[in-house]
Amino acid sequence: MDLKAQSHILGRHFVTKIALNHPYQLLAAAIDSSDTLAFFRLLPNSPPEEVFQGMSKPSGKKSALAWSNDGNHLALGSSNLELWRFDGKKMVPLKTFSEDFVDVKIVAWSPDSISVAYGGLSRKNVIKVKNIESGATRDLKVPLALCSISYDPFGKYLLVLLRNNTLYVYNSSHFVKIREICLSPKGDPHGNVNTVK
Amino acid sequence: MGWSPDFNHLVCPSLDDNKISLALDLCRSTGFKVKQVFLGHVSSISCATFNPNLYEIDGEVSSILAMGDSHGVVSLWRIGSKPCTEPLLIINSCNEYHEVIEDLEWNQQGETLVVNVLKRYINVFTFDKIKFGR
Repeated sequence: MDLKAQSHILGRHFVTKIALNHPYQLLAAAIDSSDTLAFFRLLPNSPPEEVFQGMSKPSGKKSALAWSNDGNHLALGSSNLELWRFDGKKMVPLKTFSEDFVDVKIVAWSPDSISVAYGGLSRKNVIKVKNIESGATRDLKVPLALCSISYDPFGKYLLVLLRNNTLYVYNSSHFVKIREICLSPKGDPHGNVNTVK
Repeated sequence: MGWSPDFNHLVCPSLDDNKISLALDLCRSTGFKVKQVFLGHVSSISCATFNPNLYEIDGEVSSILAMGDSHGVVSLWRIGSKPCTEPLLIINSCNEYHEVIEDLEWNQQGETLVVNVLKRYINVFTFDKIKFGR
């Protein structure tokens, strides 16, 4: 198939993380070595344009960025977790959560856009799941350092990839571990990649 | 990690890439068993994201997966009922090695792929989406 791509360099910024808001077609970009977020409108059949900038709190390197599925909230991870609300025209800072983390490196929203799970560099190897409506927080203790978090699209599972290259599948409401899936060929004595415990 | 638009496939890069870089397609409906393994990137696969649309081509429904690595290479794969053995397209997003593809984002229409090359630049690729299917 003759599939080709046209490329276009966007802006002049050095960026650490990006996240695309699908409902509003708005791309957020965390600028390196600054507390600035740049926002680009990404409309079909037209070149992307920078529409505004926002300033986060001075909190070090921006390591994680994620929009909620409804496009109304943005979570920004640095030395703390910042929540912003998009009012359709601009970003409004909501809350900052200073937790035990040295650096919040991973952020994932639940499919209903009500809860945000986050984690990062910490001695405690914990994932915090915060309900943004009630403010309630629950902790999920994991055995090793985190690499990635994802909710399944139905919100039933919370999937956590850890440093040992194993994917842990938790029930998202009770935090009960359902499965461990080794993603490494050598994790299985038979040499198969597909190891499900 | 990236979820397919039919919510049945989770693609997860393996962290154990000392010998070979690979990503696994885990099938939700079979309890996250591995359906297929994607090979070919010569450096660590850093991100994987599905195009949000399903496409029909030659009577078969498929989805399009994009993966990025730490040498600035982006690959596109078609995921259908049959295992795919080679990518649809390979893009050298960067001019230099050791430029890490940190994030990949598809727009809602599935014709634009935004590539974040860590601390370098954002590259926006536009595809003729008819080539992906109907």
